[in-house]
Amino acid sequence: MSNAHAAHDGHHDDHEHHGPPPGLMRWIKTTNHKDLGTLYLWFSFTMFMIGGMMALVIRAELFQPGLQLVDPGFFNQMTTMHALVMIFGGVMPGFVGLANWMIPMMIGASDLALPRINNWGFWLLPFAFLLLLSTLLVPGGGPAAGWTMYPPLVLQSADALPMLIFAVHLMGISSITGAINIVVTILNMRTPGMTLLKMPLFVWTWLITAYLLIAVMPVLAGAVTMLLTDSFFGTTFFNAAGGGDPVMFQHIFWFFGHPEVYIMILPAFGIVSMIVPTFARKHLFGYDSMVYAVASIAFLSFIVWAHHMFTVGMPVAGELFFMFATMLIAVPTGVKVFNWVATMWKGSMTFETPMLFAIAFIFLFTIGGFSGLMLAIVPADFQYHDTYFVVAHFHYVLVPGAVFSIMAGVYYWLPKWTGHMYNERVGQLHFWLTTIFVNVTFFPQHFSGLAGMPRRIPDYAVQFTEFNMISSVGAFGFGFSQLILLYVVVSCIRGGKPATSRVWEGARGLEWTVASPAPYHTFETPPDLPDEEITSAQEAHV
Amino acid sequence: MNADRKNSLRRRNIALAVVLGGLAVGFYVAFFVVVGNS
Repeated sequence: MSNAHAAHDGHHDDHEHHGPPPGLMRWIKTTNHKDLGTLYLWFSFTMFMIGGMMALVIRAELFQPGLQLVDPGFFNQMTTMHALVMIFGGVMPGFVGLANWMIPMMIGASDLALPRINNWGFWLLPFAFLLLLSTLLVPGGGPAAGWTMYPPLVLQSADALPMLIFAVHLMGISSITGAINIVVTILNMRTPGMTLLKMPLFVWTWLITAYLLIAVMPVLAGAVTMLLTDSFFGTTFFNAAGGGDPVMFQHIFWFFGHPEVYIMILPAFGIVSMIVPTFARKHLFGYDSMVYAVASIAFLSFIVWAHHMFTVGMPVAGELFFMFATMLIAVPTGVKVFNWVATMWKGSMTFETPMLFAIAFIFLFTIGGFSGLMLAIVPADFQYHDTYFVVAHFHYVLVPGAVFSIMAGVYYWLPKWTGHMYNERVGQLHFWLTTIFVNVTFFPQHFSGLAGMPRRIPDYAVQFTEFNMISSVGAFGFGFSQLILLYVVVSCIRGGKPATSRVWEGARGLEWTVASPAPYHTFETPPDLPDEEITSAQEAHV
Repeated sequence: MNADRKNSLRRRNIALAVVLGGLAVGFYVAFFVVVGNS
């Protein structure tokens, strides 16, 4: 038994009576990172379902040309709310949930550094989204100007505007407190011997993501505060009539918005970097270069924002700068993709559900990356801008990218959380249905976009009908396939084959030295770091 | 972990959190000043 194991087991014997308090108050008052991780993950799943239903309203309307089911105003509310719910309610809390659960266990900490702030950060979210979703019930309906909230259009949002702005502020506060907690935990609470370059990649990617959050969430908060004062207090930040500039909002928004894209993908890189070595039964290839690649991507994310607004009109020098800076991101991203492939090369691979999702991530995220490179080319972007090609691009990055990585992480760590193995056959059924339908949904959107179909419209020219029909069928298939995930998770919580501590034969790291399910309190005494648990490639002499 | 070490860790955690929180608030305020004067 490893020292870490022994240290943990000793602790567990001492504190067996010290479990979670019973009842609902456990979840409201909890400061335990595992409880809060669970809350974040269920919240994220709920938001995925709500945002998914909005997507199905969109796809049902777009099944045929003409206006069928909803009026255009409501359609615009659906596109706006779908994005806000999925980004701020689904993807981000999903990653925060995984971070809550896993980061303390990966670095040998007893909990996050600021547990009460952790509780507060989570419980802001249900209220933020209740506020956001309740805009659908106020006169004039919800916000309908797109998740980018461009003025002057967004200023026509009537009663929904202050509610939207307050909700965004709450989400921002939640994200910033969560990010501060993660940085402090990682920098101050690593077990002795775990230097920065011995940390698991998931911890590294989250450390860098947390810095990004601290840097850019205040920018979003500032931008929406200015919208609020423009709308209600007579300022003219974005009103040309008063000396302001509506295009400035776009610059500010995307200065937040592009790093936000990486906030939603860097933790995904971390998850995939944990899973691929486990199921290839090799150490991660090029650990150091993976860390530097993540840091490079994070740096570059601050200097590419205007590629979202090439068509707004800017000096050619500006367009060239943002084009080349954007293309530069392909270099560290390529390093990561090649390193994952090199990790698999000559590995003793098996294809359990987490690995299937991780491999699908590498393939499909790369497709999204390539279409991103196409969009980075200024003259080409003038053709693609605001078409369904852009919709296809960012959905490839976010669905088989970010969402697949969350699913991969859930399957990978579920036995550690519940103490039971999930049903592998049903998990693989979920994977295949999800992967097939995600491509049926989004791949045709490349073609309709290249043919000129604009995004954010409830009606379209008849020549786009077939691609839209295929896309809608795929969306319904994809949406309903997620009920299988719900079944797998619930049945795994309720029972199943007992999971061992290590769960996966090739898994390395401190989190696999504790029992499954992970005890309520772990590592109250910092564990030793045995050589065999070090994830860094060079430390393991590979 | 003994009490001294725990207290020292708590102080370091709070100090770093205050610095990071100050950075976030600083970005927010600085942003207003820069954009407001542009």
